[in-house]
Amino acid sequence: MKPRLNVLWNEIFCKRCVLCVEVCPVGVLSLERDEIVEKPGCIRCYQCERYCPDIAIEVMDEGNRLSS
Amino acid sequence: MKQLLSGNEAIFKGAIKAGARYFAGYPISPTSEILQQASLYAEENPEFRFLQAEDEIAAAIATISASLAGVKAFTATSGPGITLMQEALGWGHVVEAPCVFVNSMRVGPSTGMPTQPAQSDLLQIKGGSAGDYYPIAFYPNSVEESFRLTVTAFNAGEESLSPVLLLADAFLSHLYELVDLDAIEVTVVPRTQEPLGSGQRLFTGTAHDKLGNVKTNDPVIYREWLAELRERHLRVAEKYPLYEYLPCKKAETLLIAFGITSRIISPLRERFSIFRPIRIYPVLERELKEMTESYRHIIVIEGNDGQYAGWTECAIHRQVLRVPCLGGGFKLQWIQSQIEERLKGR
Amino acid sequence: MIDRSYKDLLKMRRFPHTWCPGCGIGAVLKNVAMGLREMGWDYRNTVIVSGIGCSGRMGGYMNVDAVHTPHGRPLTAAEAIKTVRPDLNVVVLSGDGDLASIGGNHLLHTARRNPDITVFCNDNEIYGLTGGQAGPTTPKGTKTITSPRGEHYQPLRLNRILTTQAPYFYAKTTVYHLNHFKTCIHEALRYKGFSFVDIISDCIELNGRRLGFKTAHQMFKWFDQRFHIVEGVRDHLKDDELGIAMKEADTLPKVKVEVSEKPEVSLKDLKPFSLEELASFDGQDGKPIYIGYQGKVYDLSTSPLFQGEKRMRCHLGGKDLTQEIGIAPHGEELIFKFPIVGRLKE
Repeated sequence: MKPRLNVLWNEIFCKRCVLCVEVCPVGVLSLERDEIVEKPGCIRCYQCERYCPDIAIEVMDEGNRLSS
Repeated sequence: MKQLLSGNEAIFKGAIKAGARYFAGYPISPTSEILQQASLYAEENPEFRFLQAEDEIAAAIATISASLAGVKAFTATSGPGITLMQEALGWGHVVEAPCVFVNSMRVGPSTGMPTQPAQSDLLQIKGGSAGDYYPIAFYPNSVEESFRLTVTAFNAGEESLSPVLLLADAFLSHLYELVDLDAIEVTVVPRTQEPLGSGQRLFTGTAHDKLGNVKTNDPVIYREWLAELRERHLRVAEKYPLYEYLPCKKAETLLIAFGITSRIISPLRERFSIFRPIRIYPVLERELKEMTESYRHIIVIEGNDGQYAGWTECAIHRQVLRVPCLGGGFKLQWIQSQIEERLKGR
Repeated sequence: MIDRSYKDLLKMRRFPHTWCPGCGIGAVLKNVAMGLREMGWDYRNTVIVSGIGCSGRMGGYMNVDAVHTPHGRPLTAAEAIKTVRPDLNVVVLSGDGDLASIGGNHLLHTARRNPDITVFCNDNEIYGLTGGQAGPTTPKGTKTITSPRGEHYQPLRLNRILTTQAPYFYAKTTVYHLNHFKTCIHEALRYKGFSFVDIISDCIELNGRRLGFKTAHQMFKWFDQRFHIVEGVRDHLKDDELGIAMKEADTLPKVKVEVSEKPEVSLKDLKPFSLEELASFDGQDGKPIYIGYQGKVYDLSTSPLFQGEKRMRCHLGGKDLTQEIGIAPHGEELIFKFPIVGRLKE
């Protein structure tokens, strides 16, 4: 599990289908060099986690997230 | 108390004696009577469940699934039905579901001659499904033995964790005899498998390891699994080396016949020795070797074109003579004349 | 905060799962697990049954006892399990090819028998596992590897087939309309009886790319264009509607056996027949078939039961059948249909 700013990304489960990237309404996720990376600006809508078919991305609880 | 029972009735009563609680079937001559009895029995005994399925495929799958769910289950059909059930038979061996398939044989292939008796499904029950598996099959020749062997078949199923075949033929299914079921002593092997809803297992027809993980490209795991299956089945079969041997002094010829044919040729035992295998598969190799050793001629009389004769030749490494009773024609005089013809000049 | 306890129902140690990137089956698996968790179901009271195909592998990822049946048979297996173990919750996870094509017969008949099972059909409109062949639900004109110029035939409309005979529960949803999807899962699991959820799902690698989509999300948008959600519970769903169609059992009017009374005919006006005269009208040599009944003579020449070689053996033409019909299994109403041609002489 690799922590990003607001999400935890599981690089083993992830198959890089980029669904999370495309469903993100504010477009903060992207696939760069085979890794999901996050820009600041997450609105914590949980869309990426809800749509991920591989259970590979989780939005971190408010307390755990890295301060941006 | 003696009662007049048909082979079909005895098979059904045997299944109930063995503790069967589920029957799924599809109407087909000559086993429709078993289906009818099961439906009536289910109306009167709510713990017994019955399904008249939409086809034999569904009946067979339902039988195996009910067995996985935790009850003893069985189904009954004839040759064309067992053809459709092959898929489920193979599946039942892989998911280790103990149950009994009754196959009352009639003349085939396809619809064939309904309902003339035959004994022509031996190859089909041995290996009709894809891949290697080692089914156990019994074949009675009387109504009383139908009852006993049904219980034996259920027991062998519980021990080998697989579908076991009980063979019959259209003659035997509709043969009425006086039997005293209360006087027949049988032992019943109880269920040992944990039923569904008690674990996190996967019952799959796909190749898998011991933990139930699907492994579709590992020859080592597959070989281990198949060796274990084979060992278990042969060990259970070894517990039931059932046969009947009627020796005749001075006889130089041994007749091999099973099921109804063995009843028909029984008057010949004044002149010939008769060997009747009851466990049809796995083939009684050791017994066949021992019995056939001292005879000059061996004649296999069966209701097909040499299916058991072929197995016998494989087992004893000798040529056997064949009398195929085809098209439902089982007449003693005809069989006798055929035997004379085969033995002429030998 | 989001509830992630559904993961207890999944074998997370076997992840990542076997399906292609972006495949909708992962979403079906995850959301069904969430639904089961919501219902409080777990390995002690739930069994998953799955068929063959990509979607059939779902059972192996669930932390409950799962039965992985041969191709097309999950419904039969599920019904049998539910029949013998009513304490278990039985959930079928399978695909459109498995349920509607090879298992089509079982789908019709299991729906007819209405067992209390829930079916989740991953309807991706293609045979994905074998490489993208046209399936039973592939829309007309779609290019697949077995319909290179476009599929020729109409797709099977499950929304119509499964809503013809009440009681029924049929829900149609997609993996894109997540909230609707979850509602359908929840309602289907709670429904007592045969409930079927048709989940339009994406097969991006073996169907979507050929159709010109680059990512799973583009297929989702395509679903959004093709379908729209309808509110509330409907009787039927149109082809482009997502929603729930549910109906309680019809209370069919009981079939009344109508005994049609023949209008009274004055016997005096009719031609008198003696029994000897009547006997000549037995249908031989093209003569009509007359029978006597309660003093009247009826012309049964048009009755199918008296035709040809195989005519019914129990009643013969040219006779007074008053007594025979009195003991026949059918009533006299069968006779009143036929014209009266005379009266019997005293």
